[in-house]
Amino acid sequence: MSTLPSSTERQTAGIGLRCPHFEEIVATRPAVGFLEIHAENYMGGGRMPARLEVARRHWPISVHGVGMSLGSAEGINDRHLERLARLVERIEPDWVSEHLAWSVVDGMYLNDLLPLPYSEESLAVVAANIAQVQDRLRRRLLIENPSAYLRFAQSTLSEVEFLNELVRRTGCGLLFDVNNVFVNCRNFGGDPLAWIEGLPADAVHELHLAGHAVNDADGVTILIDDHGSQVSAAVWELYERAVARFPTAATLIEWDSNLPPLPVLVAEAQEADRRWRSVHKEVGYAAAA
Amino acid sequence: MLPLRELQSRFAAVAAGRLLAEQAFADSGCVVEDAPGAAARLAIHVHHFRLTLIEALGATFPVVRRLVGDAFFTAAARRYVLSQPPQRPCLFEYGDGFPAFLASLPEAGSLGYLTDLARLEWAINRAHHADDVPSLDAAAAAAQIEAPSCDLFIGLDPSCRLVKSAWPVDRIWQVHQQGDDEIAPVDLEAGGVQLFIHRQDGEVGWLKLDAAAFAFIGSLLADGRLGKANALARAIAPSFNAPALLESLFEGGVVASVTAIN
Repeated sequence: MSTLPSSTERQTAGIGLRCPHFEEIVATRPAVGFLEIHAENYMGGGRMPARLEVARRHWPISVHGVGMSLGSAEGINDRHLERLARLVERIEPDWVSEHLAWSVVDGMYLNDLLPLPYSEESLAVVAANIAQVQDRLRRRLLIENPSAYLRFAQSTLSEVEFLNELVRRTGCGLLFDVNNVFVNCRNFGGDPLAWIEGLPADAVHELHLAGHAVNDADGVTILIDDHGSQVSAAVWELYERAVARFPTAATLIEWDSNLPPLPVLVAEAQEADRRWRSVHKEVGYAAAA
Repeated sequence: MLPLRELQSRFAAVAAGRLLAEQAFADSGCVVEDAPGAAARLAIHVHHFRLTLIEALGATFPVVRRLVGDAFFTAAARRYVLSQPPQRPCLFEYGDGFPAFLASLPEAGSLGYLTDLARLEWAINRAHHADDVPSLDAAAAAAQIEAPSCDLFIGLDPSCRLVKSAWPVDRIWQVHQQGDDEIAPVDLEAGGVQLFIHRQDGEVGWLKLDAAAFAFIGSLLADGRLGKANALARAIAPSFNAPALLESLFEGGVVASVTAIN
């Protein structure tokens, strides 16, 4: 089975596998390092999983869940966990990731990655849910830091402290979303570099890059993590700081809305590769090609 | 301080329009009042919830959307999202109740075929995403039945669906696969159809059935009993030919199991 890039080889960024691109990806075989899928789109039968079977012959696959609702106080849904387990058994992905967020309560799925108060109660809930998923999948889960548009007064921990504690309690890994940290630091203040320094470097296995929208809400600028455009210049700069600290992490370009032609997405992945190489030349990580 | 469960319940109530954002967290002060305020910040999530689910319904019911226009569709879908939000995270499973919801709207009554068309689009969607089950061929089925038995249980592939309409909904669906300038007129007086929708080799298609064949497959989908299905079909058309229809089901790869019932 192929594996995601590590620091001992040239880093090749991956892209999200999106339906409108599927035929072109298989026909043109762009030189991307891996493909990431949204788990929930592949939990039925028919064409979608059949396409994924084709794609996995050519690229390593990363399974990115959006619906497990690890932050749900009512616990996670056993049936959904079973469906994820079956997908993971079938695809044998290199990584399985989910979000530090919630989306399910009272029998409702809210189709959003909703924010949690960073409290001891939330910590116990999320840690128990992660442990249940990891036990069922018999593998380490990567947890992604979310974007947020509101803060809870009852938070007693910072997001970095919360993530560190999840790693300590559950042994999970981390997926560091560079754009989300940038968005949150703009929306609420905060130093993204301190954020990068504060994470346990050996737990970070994947980086996400995406574009964001700039919205005006009653005269206040709020950045929205909409995955609908190219990575901004400021986020590229932050990415260079992130790859310096997390050299073994694989990079993914996310683009979910206003999907561009495939070559635009591939060019973004190549730009990530270029920046990774330039950083590691500067700080002395030889790209042992 | 709100317990997490209560906080999440209130959040959902705001998203579903059952509680105002200003009321949800006002007493507890649990959302920080960063400008432009907690309610405006909550509204970002509420907007996302409604918009993305309206879009998901539009993707599942594209012909319904074209027939009624974007403005009506968005308004109807919004009401549906608020009254019947999804229960599960796989959005290809969302929209089960949308055809019946459309039927309940007084405005939709002027398009008599709209509900049936929505049922056809839902059947197509479910057939696309139904679980993969290996199909049996006729020889394998015969080999499984060793002893003479009273009856057989025929299990059909999970992609199999039936849609019956007093309108030519198949034709209406087909002409709306073209661009706006190319939509051919449909003779609404052409009569109704009884459609058997299923997936074969990854592609979803349908067969038009007569009343007896429709009753036969409907009975098999309900409980699988061949004898009962055959009796029902023959009561409608004494000349009904079950072996010929079964053969075409085997050829279509939609028979998943055959079991003798003693």
